[in-house]
Amino acid sequence: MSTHTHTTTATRVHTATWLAEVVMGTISEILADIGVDVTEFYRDWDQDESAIKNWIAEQSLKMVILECHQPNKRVSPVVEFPVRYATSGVSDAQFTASRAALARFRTKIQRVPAGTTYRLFCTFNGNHSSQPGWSPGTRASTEGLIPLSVRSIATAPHATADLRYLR
Amino acid sequence: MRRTRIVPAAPVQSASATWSVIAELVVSALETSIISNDDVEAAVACLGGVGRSLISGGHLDKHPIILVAPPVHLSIYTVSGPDAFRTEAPRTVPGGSSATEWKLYLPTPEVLVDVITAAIQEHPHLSIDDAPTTVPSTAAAALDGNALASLGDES
Repeated sequence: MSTHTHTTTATRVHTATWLAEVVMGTISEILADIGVDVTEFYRDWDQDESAIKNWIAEQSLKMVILECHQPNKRVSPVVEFPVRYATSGVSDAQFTASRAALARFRTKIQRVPAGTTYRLFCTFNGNHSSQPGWSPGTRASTEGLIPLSVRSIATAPHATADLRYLR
Repeated sequence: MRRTRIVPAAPVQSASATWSVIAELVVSALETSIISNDDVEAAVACLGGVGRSLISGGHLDKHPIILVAPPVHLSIYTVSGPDAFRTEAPRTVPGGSSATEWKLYLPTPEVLVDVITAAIQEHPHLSIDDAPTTVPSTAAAALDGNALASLGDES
């Protein structure tokens, strides 16, 4: 009788794949939940997922931001996904996702009027690679919006993704 | 014949890559049958967005996509997180060559009900109903060369 053990060393790419997946999944569910048409988000999924993953892997991504632009020009809600990197390069953290907490969080977000669109932004820690489909842009002002919560939504050995909700 | 396939998702591979594996499982299960490949590929293609969303939300870890194409009854799950490292890429599903009809049943987590309903509305082979738990006995009893050939190495 033989015994087999399976050991896998998690890499930065694994961390990036995990965090990108949780962030993309969270955005898709927020948009679906508040009534924003997800056609464009689904169409661009592969390039956005790849860009976020690559930027996390190179540790340049500071934050992903979801802005919802209502027909009356109001920008709300705004959801930020800051990424924190392990100071020592790698930590003991496992691959976790706070899916139950995210489901509870979504109940706090109100539906938006028909015709509301969305925009995605990323901010960076210094230099970053160029990624297809992404170009420089300017975020809407968050003046007057109140940050309601900051929580960790996903952990991995090399980084953690948080969520901050502004309304 | 009931089959289950489990596809490793993140952190092993992205939601996009995971969906490609799931789509290929469905298409390949029916490709030797009289069912039009184009129809299957078109139906699966229109699920690309919701498929990725189901994967990235962890929903397929608990609730499978189910292909019912008598004699095949195939449940496809994903596994996310640390367990994904211990999951091998799934093998193709034999037994579909005698299938003459098919339907793909999707799970509907509350948050995605509207977008999934919209995605499937014009496709008669896609459903959000509860999948039948068995396939018709006459079809289930049909001989299938591929299935026989694979006996002994199937789980």
